[in-house]
Amino acid sequence: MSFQEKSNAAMLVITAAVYGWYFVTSAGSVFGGGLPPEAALAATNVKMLLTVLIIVAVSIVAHILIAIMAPSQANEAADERDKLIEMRGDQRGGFVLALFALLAMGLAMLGKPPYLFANTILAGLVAGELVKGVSKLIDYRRGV
Amino acid sequence: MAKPTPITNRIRALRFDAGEMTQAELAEKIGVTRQTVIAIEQGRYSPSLEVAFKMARVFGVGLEEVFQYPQSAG
Repeated sequence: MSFQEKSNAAMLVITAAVYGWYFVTSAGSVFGGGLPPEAALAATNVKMLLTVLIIVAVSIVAHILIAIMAPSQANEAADERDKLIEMRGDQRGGFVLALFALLAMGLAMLGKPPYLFANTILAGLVAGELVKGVSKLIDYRRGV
Repeated sequence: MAKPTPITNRIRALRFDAGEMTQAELAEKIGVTRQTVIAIEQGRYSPSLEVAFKMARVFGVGLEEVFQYPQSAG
């Protein structure tokens, strides 16, 4: 398994875990309508920023560990196959992101509170990244 | 499953003839990762023309001695 493939697998797990936690813990209290819109926005804003910090910190640690486990691969640059696999993942992830963008647009047109747009767009970014990660995982294993 | 490429290759035999060159050595010479050489050898990835020419040059043979495209493939 190349450095790029390990990196993708690690980012997939980290993204699923961190944003899984975010959406599961927000589902009842925030999206369930238990809080007024201003409080819901404030609550998700803080948690959203926290998830970014967690993702950055955990991914740095994960990449250091991957590099330590296979030092010879650590400086390996992405080659043409890696770039092709990346582009195919971007294409599939971008399609999912576009669907969520349309959903967010629909919510805005219906006059829903801002925290719902923000979280719909975040869900789109996360879903897009997860689809991209799974696409890359499959392409690396099965071939392109 | 990704559609298998009709392109076949003789990379493994050519590596053997070239003093049992390893996949890692070939990868380094043509500027790709070892995993990409493995994928090309197994027919899971068709390389760019540039990589294909580099590979042929490493073995000192023509392109069609490395890669073959069957007549029936259209």
